[in-house]
Amino acid sequence: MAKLKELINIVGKENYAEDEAELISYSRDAFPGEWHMPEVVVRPETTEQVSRIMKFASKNKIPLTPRGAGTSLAANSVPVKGGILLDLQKMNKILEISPKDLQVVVQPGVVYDDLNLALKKYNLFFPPDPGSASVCTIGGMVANNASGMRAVKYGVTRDYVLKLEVVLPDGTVIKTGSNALKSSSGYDLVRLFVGSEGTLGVFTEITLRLRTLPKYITTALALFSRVDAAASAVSNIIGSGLVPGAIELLDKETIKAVGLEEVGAMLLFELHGSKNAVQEDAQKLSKICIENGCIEIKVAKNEKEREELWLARRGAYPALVRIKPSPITGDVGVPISKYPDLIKKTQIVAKKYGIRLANFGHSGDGNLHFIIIADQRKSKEWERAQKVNREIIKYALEFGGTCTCEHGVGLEKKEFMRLEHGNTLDIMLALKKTLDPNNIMNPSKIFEMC
Amino acid sequence: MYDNMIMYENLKKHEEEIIRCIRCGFCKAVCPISKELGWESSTPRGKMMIGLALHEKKISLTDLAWKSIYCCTTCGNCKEICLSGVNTVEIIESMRADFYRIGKGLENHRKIKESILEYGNPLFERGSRISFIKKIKKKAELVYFVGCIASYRMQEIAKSTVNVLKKSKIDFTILENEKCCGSVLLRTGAVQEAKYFAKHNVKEIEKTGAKKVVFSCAGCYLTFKKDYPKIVDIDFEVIHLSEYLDELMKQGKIELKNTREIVTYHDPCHLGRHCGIYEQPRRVIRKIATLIEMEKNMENSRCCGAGGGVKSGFPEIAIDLGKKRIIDAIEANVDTIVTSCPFCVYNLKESAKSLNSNLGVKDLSEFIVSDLADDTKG
Repeated sequence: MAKLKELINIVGKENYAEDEAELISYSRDAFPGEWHMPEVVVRPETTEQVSRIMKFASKNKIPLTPRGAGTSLAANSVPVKGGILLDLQKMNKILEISPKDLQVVVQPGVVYDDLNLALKKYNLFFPPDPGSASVCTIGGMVANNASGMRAVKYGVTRDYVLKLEVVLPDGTVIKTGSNALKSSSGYDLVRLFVGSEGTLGVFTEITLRLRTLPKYITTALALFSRVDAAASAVSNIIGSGLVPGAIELLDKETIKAVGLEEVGAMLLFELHGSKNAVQEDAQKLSKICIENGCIEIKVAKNEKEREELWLARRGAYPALVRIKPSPITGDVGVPISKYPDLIKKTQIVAKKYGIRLANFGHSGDGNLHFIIIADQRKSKEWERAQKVNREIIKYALEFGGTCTCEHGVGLEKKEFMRLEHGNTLDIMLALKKTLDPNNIMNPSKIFEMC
Repeated sequence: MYDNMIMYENLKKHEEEIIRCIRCGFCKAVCPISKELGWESSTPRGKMMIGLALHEKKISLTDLAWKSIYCCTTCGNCKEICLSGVNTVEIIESMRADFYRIGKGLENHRKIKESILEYGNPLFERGSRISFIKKIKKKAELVYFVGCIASYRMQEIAKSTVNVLKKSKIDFTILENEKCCGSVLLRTGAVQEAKYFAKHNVKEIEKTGAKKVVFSCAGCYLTFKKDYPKIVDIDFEVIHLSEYLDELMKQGKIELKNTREIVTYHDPCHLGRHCGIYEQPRRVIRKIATLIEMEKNMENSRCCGAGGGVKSGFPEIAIDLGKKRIIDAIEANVDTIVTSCPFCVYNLKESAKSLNSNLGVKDLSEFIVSDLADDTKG
């Protein structure tokens, strides 16, 4: 501990904490796992400070965990090996908005909603909208390749990162990527760093490309008596060439938890574009839903109706997390055609272990959030809940999918990395070893180093 | 203090509820203190973790642990937004009650408690509360509970309220022996001491035979409305001045002239989020002025920074938060910010002053009194 006090020389007393109460507050994130206290928390304000902290950590081989808002659902920001917790929330400046180039340069601690509020004046936005939009930071989004409901139309964080300033574990500051929208120049290190979960370095400046705000948005809600009918409607909508701004699915258990009249499944659509195009798309979409056995469809006529239609989706997660204290939030993804099969599997597995499970998700891109309703304090129930989680992930992988679409691996999904990536995992391990030979950066996340 | 022997009795009652916190962090986005301090221990989620860790003996009661629990205005915005429906404010107040019991309160809060116990007010005032009124009736239909701030620091509010009541021609009185409502004690953990004041004030009100008690202070109102029923039986209606004015207007008992002033309204947390009174003061204001909303209003209103013992415990933070609210009002391009709580008025006035802003800060009672007919004055 005495040595860690040297960090005060870098960040100043006001940005250094070692009181147990502070350390315990940083010992968990939104993942229902164990508590791991760091030995110290520091809040740098400049790239230079980050670099000096990293040099110090490298020299002394002290583990270091970067953290944005700490909203990870996979324990990505939990300092499992103690050491230094690097809180990046003070680096929260929007450095440059370039409306003509549709680009913005930000520090990692900028909050997602704050960025879009600033961009609104220019009729621009950064589309990937995670559920934690009001609080999550851009740095955290880049580190986890986050996304949300709009990914079906606009893609994920990775699609928007043009350039990064990264502080490597030894303190070296690099800039990688380009302001050009296209580049064939060398290895794409930006893509390597996006989604690296703080295991390779710390982002101190992020250049994002932006989109113009859609001119017109409408919302439609379709009810189905069976979830597989809803899922096949999704598949047919995407197959028809329509690209809705969102296609959210809620299953029977979720609808029940929200307290709405019971029905097999619900699909919520957003359509973005010019008014005429949106209206035309709404008609096409309604037709496909009806052809797939939809029992009722409503298209919002105004903003008020739009809000009303979204209520069920907005209420889904809060309703589900109130049932038991430590819900597990699944984040698997499969090719769209396999979505109905995956939902069926979740139900079979949950039934097998006698666990309550609800599904909702970004069905347009094949991302399913299954919620396992469980209480961590009941060891047998918790064990069964873990089994349910494992089996569903394995099915997703069998269907050619992924264990995580947008939350990241963190601690939670490490055990599936070999299964999902085979011998490619060895390349990841080799890259990690090259960039972080002392394994100080967010150790024990994504994979264990031997 | 190493605290393996400490039992957090009040906190223990909330164990199940704290465990429900999923640490999503949504509370961080709305908490005024978190935004000011930034450290995780200052967030409602952090406070829940500190509480659980103390209860489970994962940490000891360090200086920061108890200070973080006191550094909360109890504005309730976190509770409003909480995905898991955790009653953060109640939990924080329970922790304060535990800390208080083991002698771990803030020094300033301890002094205030002593003033309340000795003088019946938190302001070390020995003089009469009712120097602004000539004659007090023993019996009346309605009691105006003045509150400590309006009695001693912001008498314009008390005088204006009395004028409004005169205008309504209602048979009213104020208490000869009013004492602090106990709000400060309850918010800072001195629960047992607060009980005496609840019983005293209710007994004094009962002596007047009043069936209705009106409050110009949001804090006193909340305490009577939500805390007193847990302590003592109440057989009278508890009503805030803004509700009462709204009623009087509807009944045509007061007439107000349009001032053409452009104002905004600041929802006091204890009146808005805690008691759900949003529309009544707005209806009154709209009658006489043009009301422009600030961006953060009603359920999402930004706290003025003074409540929950923060003004006395962390005065600089209270002013910094107050300044943000003044800036909200300036951005709304208004002449005056109107609110319904003397404590908000007090802190916002000080905050405006430290910003060198000439924005008007007025209590609702003061704001409307200038528009009443002359016969109500004096």
